[in-house]
Amino acid sequence: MHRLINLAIIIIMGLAGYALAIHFDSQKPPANATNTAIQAASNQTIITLKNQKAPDFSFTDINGQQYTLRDFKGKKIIINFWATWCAPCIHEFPQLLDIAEANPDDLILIALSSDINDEAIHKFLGKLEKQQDITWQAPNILIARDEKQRITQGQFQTYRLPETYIIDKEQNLHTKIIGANWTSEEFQRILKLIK
Amino acid sequence: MKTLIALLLLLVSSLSYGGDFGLIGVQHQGRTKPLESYARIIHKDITGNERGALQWLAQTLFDPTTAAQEPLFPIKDPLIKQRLSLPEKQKLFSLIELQKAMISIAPQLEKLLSDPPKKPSKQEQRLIELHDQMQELNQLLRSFSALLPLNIDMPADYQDIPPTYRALLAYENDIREQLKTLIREKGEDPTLYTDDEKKLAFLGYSLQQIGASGIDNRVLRVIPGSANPEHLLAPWEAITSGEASPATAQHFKMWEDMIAAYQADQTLPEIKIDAPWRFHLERLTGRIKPFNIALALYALALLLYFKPRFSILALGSGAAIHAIAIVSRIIILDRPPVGTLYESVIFVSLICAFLAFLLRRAPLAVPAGAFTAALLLTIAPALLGSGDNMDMLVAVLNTNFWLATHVLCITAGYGVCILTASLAHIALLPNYKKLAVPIYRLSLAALLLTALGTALGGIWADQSWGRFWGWDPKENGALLIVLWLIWLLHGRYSGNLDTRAFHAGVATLNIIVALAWFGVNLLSVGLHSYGFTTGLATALTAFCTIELIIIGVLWRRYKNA
Repeated sequence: MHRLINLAIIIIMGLAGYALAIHFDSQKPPANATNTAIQAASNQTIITLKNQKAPDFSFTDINGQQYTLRDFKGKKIIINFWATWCAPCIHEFPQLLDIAEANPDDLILIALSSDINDEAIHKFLGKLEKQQDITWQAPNILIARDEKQRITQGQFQTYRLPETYIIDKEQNLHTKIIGANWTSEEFQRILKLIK
Repeated sequence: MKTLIALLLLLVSSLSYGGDFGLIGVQHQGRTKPLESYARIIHKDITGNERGALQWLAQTLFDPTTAAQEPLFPIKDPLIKQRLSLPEKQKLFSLIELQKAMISIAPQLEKLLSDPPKKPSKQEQRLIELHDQMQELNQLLRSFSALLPLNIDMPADYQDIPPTYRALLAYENDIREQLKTLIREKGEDPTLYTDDEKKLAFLGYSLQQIGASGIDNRVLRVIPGSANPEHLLAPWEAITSGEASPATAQHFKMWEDMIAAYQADQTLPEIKIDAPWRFHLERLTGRIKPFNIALALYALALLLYFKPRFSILALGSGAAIHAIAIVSRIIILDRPPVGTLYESVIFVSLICAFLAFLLRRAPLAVPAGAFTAALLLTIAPALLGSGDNMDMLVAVLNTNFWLATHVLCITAGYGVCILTASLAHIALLPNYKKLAVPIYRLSLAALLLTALGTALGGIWADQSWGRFWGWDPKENGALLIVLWLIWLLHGRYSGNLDTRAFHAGVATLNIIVALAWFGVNLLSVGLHSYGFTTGLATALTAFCTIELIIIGVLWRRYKNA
């Protein structure tokens, strides 16, 4: 009888101990409650990335100048994947040019187009300058054609346009924006967060 | 000795079968599980068994054309075969065969699916089930259609590009522009095209078809998302949602390599991945099926009734393996062991076996414990709602604190009640009056656990639903057990119930527990009705009737003795 009672007491105490341990454990904030989750919940099109180094790539801009991504270490970089035939890309393009113009010293905009030829890009930019009085000739704005989507799809796995990556000064991927559903204020806020 | 070593080697080789392919994580029904568990669940759902599930999944994913022709769907009902004009003697049918056969009943099937009858006939139910399973398999066959090599002749301009949808997507615009020019120059009649132009037109058409059929494919979530790698995406989802990132490339490459390896020699791809150890544990328990081993040992304990020492050994080993299996489930699911009706049954079964082992010196306690434990383990699989026996919890139960206290306490109470009731049956037999003492003590333990469990339930209800007691059917059931035990014990103390009546009353506890445990779920009302299982009513009625007859017969025999 005593053995049974002792056993019952041990089991009940064990259960209580286990329950208390779980209870106190559940009081702690979850380990993965970070900025990411909050941002993802409030706006599905903006994703905060972590622990991902931006893959290096080389490109030739529409003026014939050659660059690699690593040339811009120490500056914040916006990589925009776009095309002249993509309506949302054209919608967001002037806003991106404005943001780059407003931050001439520490921001580089690299706009990689999936167009088949350079002609389409020149035509689009000419029209843009005439209609909206926007310049794309600033030294921190680099527009290039990504032939066969070598960088867009091959390296960045971007299958749908537009997509925009924001890269920090250490060349880590910081934020990914899917589509053109963002505001300049949101963009500026993200840029301010980046070191 | 040599045989033993050979057997051990066989066991080890069977446990490492398939390399790490089965350990790849897949998000399914609310949790991430190893691919091997996923394969078992889906294969069992379609075929009714788990044999060769992983090999089947590899073929389904990597060689869908062949997989669609494999006989997989069992159809026994001659009426369904007749309705679908299928050969009478054939037992298994392939997806292709069924798709062709279903065309003949398409309008009836459409009506059945859009407006299902309240009480569908067996045939109608099987047809709906078949339709759902075929749809799931169809989706599964297309999971990797973006990564599988296209079986077409490539036009000269694209010979050097890997012939997959994913690789060709970068050239989609070029292809589209080329086709536009072609149509402008030569029109839409392909007979006017050169061979290479025909190839180009067919490539454009194929890409469009594959893209359209894959766009909503979300069934196999295996690619880590870029924002949260724990959130897994289906391959098509990663391509179409924009949630891929440079890191996704390596995952696509891993799957493309596996596809190439499988298509080369039709064997499971040999890969090395760093899987969490709970996946290893889940795969191991999935392969050795510890509950079946425990069940076999309980049956052995019954068979060895005349060799008490061996019988005790079998029961003890069974209970140990049973306990290890339950602890494994706690680790795998990261939550207390009792959250579903199925889990409550396997837990109560362990309590019965464990208590019987403790009471092993009492007459017939070991066979009684082995019998109840084995019986409960046998009926447990019938209570599974879905194919996965590691289901996620409904929201109301998803609080570890109360699951670990109230639910464990009350189910442990059920376990003690059932073993006590089983012993009480035996005590009604002549010559087993010695059992009176353990039965009395066990009934006290049962009262303690059920009363404590009920009170804890009240506190949980107060926190969760805002009231301590609401005369909910499950609460009433728990109260009924407590009141029944209190009444019996008081009757015994006051002398109003003699030993026979007390034992008969305790034996009836089985019926009360069964009603409180399963009966409430049948009502499908009240706040506790989350474990609703169809087809339980008949079994429960039969159990109660048989129990009453047995107790009645024992009562009369006792009286006559």
